[in-house]
Amino acid sequence: MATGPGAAYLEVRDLEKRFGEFVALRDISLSIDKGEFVVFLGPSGCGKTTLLRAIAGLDRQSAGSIVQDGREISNLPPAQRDFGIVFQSYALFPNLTVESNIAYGLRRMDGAQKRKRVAELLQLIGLPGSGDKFPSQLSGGQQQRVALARAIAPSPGLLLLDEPLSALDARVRIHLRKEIRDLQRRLDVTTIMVTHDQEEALTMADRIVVMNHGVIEQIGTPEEIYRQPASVFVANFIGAMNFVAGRAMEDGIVRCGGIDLASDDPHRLPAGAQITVAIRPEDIAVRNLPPGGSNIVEARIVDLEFLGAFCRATLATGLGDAADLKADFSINAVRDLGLKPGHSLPVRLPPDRLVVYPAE
Amino acid sequence: MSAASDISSTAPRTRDDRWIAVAVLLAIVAFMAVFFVVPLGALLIRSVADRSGAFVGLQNFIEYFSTPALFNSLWNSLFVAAVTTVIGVTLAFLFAYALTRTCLKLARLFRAAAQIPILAPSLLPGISLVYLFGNQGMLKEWLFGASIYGPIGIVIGEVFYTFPHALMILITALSLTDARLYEAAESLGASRLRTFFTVTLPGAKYGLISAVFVVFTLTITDFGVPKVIGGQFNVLATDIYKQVIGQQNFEMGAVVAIVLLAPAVLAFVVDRLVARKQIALLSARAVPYAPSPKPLKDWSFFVYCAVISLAIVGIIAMAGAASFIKFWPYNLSLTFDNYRFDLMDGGGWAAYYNSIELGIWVAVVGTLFIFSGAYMVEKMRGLYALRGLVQFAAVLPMAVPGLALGLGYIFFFNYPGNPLSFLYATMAILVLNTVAHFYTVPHLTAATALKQLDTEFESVSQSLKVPFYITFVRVTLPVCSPALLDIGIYLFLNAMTTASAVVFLYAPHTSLASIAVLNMDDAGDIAPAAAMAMMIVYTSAALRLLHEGISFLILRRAQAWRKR
Repeated sequence: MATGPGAAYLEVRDLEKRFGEFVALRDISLSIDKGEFVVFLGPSGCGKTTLLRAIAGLDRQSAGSIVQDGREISNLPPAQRDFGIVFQSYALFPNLTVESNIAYGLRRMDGAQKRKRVAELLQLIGLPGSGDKFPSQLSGGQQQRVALARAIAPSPGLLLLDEPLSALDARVRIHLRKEIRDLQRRLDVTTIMVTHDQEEALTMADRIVVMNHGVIEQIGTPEEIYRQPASVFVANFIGAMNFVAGRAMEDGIVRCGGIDLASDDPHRLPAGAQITVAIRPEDIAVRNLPPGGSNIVEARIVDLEFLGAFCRATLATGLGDAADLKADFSINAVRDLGLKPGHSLPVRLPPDRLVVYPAE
Repeated sequence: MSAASDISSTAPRTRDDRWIAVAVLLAIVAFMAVFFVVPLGALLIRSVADRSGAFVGLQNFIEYFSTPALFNSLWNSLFVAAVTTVIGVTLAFLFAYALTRTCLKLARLFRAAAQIPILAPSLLPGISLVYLFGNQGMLKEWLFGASIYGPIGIVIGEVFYTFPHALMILITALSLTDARLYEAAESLGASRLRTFFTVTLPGAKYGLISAVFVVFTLTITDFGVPKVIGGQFNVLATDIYKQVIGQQNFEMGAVVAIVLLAPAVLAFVVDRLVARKQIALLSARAVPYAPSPKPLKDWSFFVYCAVISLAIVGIIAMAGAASFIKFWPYNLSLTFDNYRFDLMDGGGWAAYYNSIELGIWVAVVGTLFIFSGAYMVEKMRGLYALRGLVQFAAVLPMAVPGLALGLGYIFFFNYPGNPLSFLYATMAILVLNTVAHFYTVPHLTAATALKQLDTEFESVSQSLKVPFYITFVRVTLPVCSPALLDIGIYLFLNAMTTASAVVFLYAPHTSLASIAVLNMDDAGDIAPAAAMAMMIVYTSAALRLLHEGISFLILRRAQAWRKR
């Protein structure tokens, strides 16, 4: 993914946005390749929508620059930039038909051209024959697709999606994720999507930009973000994560509550440093433990919560004062091992799954 | 959109966009300055000057407050307004309660009957009361020897005139209550009376306060009712008229106008503060209240609503009947003679046509102007100072009595050397004055309608490279067409019925129907005055019916795209 300078389609440099005293965006720099699908992910108020609107020119930045396709657009009004946008509310014009909505940005085309393009787009979004309907006659998911078609109708170089799925119910949302992703691939249009839904980000993005309090916490592929969260915030925000306080020792050894664990985390902290060790619940192993292997601790099952596809166990270990670890065990494992609250058993915290952060 | 992003967002838009927004906003600021602020300033200046125009400080005010004949009117006004408020709000509250909280038969009919007073100039109830309870009145004995000419007549007339205004506010307030509060009260074993005082009244509290101030302000600033039925009982509104038209004492007229302005402004400020709280009271999750049948309660309220509705219809019907009777009470044969306005002083049929012309101008020009202004205020980004200024200016006219504004116009537009003095005594000044005078309610209506539109329409247009004015015409106007129609009708009805500001501004060739009613009544031609007042009622009623019809058609056409 990493490309040299000049090759990026969209380049954001040192962007800053202030609302009076409040700093909404700080030191935002990122570059996006042509055809890439990038997701801005973060909790509400983290600045992701502000950043999207700055790229669109709808709310201009206080400082910094934006270059799109080699063109400096930092100070251009939205109408002179090259993008299509879909809002959370879709903002479909209620008094215009689906056809007129889609054709809204095609003012330069003549009638025949326009009709052809609209028909093409209706086909593309899987709604041929719905051109005469009004938005209120469509379901939420269909409205969403029309909004998408309207945004891509003038073939913009950049597609911006502002929480496009959050107004839909869960089933439709999951279906549309795939549809949007397929459409984006087919059109090869560079796309930025804003969401607060980590699952959406993980399943759809080529790269994720995790934001918090107006700064970028991490940029990376979904896999990188999930496997190697760059900060406690990212680790905590994406997926479930256990945190245990400890101290760094030599050679990647971490000591938690008197127990030494090996960690493969390449970010080595100096011996003696106060640290936080993180591991995901599904990475805690309970079967096929290597006999006499390292990183095995004795655990007592305090609670076992049935969550359908798996069970989430609360484990008491000797790793720290409040070291109640959450661990996800498959239903099979629970059945085969006869796991019940009160049982004690050894569990393994694999070294390649332990991530180490400096203590906050 | 969060509050934070509202503060900033320097609006980047194409140049032609911005130019139009600024132009419209500036036009409204200029209009409000010239046709509202400056005339009031002129009024203020004149109140502290003598006849030669020299500054005399508060001398005119000292003279006013040391002349009992003038000063008494202030007490009279306050007294009449207070009594009207107590009676009117109580009656309206019970009526609103019946409409919203009981299983009332014929509710729609009662509701329609209660709206009738809006169609009439406030001179009409005065005229009717003369026929009903005056010296030759049909029901004179009902007063047990008391005279209708004076506070009794004024209070009855004002209760009639202000009833629909109070009723609308109270219906809204009572409809807002959450049914779950009643279920909670019931499940806790509260008695009906206790529920009324702990749930119903507090829930309607802000509506009640608002209704109190609206009735009080309307009454104290109204000029039509006391003019016709006040007799020797002077109030502020009639004093202004007498000082200016009768005695040509403009300075004292200005002083009285400012004395009248004070309670109106006070009421306005309190009302605005309360309105802000009312919004906070609304909860999106409230469950609407559905009354269950209780025969005794329902029928008691039915009788009550029937009596009130009959009284309202009776007052209109009396004026209607009087307009067709030859010479009350001596010759009761029917005639159309009273409608031969050209035979009387007051402006004749021309005055009626002038009113129609005024109404059309005000409705068309006012609606487009006010709606465009509200659009710029609600939908533009940036331009904070200008948008804030327009928003502020838009709500002020509600606080100013028409008589005060009209008098200010005399001082300003009649001032020698004012380049705008060519407007004086034209139809144009009547149009501009009426738009300025009734600016507030249409602006708020438009703002409410616009707030319901998706905030991103303009952003979408920009991203699709469509200028905002195209989206305004293609989307905003069609979607807001019901609100546009409401605004147009509101302006037309007010232009037809108002007699306050325009009484100082008409010229012989621009006399209006409402002015003709006033002048014919003044001249003792009371039956023709009733006839002209009825012409206004017929016209307003026809228009209201037309409005209903068009609204129905719009809704049906729009049903395709409105939420099912």
